[in-house]
Amino acid sequence: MNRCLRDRTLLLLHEGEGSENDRAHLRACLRCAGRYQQMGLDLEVIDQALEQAPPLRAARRHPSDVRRRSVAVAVALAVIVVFAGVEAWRWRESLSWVRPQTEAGDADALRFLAEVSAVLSSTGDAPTPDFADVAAMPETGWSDEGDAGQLFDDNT
Amino acid sequence: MGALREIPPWHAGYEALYRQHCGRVVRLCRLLLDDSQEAQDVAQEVFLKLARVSEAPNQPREWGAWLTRVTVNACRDRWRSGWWRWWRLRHEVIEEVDVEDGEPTPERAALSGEVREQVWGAFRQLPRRQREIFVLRHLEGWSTQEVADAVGVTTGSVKRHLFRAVQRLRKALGGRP
Repeated sequence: MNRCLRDRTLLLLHEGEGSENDRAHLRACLRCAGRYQQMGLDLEVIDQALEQAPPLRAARRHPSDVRRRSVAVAVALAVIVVFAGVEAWRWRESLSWVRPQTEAGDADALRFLAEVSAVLSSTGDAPTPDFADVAAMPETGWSDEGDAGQLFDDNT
Repeated sequence: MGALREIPPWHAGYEALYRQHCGRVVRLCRLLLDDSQEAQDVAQEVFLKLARVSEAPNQPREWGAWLTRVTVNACRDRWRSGWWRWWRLRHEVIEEVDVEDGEPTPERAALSGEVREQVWGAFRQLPRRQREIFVLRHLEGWSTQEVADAVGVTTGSVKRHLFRAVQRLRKALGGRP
């Protein structure tokens, strides 16, 4: 005897399809005939149930649904907050690339202005650096006291 | 006061088709949409299309199959529309219950409310494609080839979806999968 039929084959037979071999097996095999009969009964009950109007849905949502939705909303909010934080941090980082280094720049500028004002207001009593040298200072990249001292030494 | 308009010749045919298929179309909509009110609305749309086509010179040969196809497409359109999905999710509670016509048959009386809920619960959980195929192939009695043509899948896919749908529904009954 052939092997017993699969549920899928039984369904096909129930729907009027399937091969002649399968039908022959169904006629010969008591076990498959029982399964086939059970499937027919189940489908009958299903058909009857679906013929009737759908039952009312639950008036209140199931607690697990509410919990699941709350967790989903919380996770979504957390993701949004993390994303916003990362974006804000990256934005600040990008600003630091664009903005000039103000601390060092300001110090140079102030020093330069101090030297210029010293030259302009000098009365000739105190030794002052040559104006042309002072004017050239920022462009030559003069940055520390050592350089300044050397410059003054050379001029004197 | 305006004169009464003559009833067009196509109207008698339309009325016959309406009487013949109205119950089936509403039931089909209810199964596919799982909503009695929406089912009535979509059925009205379907019969509006039927009225338009009844006037047209080129008419389908098989009105029953044509109506089923139009109904399935109308339900699919309604299902796809975002607002309806939103409405369904928001207003699950206020769905109305159909009042059964006449005395309950012995089968209906025998079928307990619990079983009906189990079956409908499982049916509602079916994916849309499985639901369509189950309704057309099993409840409407279309052939596998006809369902495949209507849904736009292969016959093998129809068989597979039908089997999965039946498996889930039987499982809900507490029987073997």
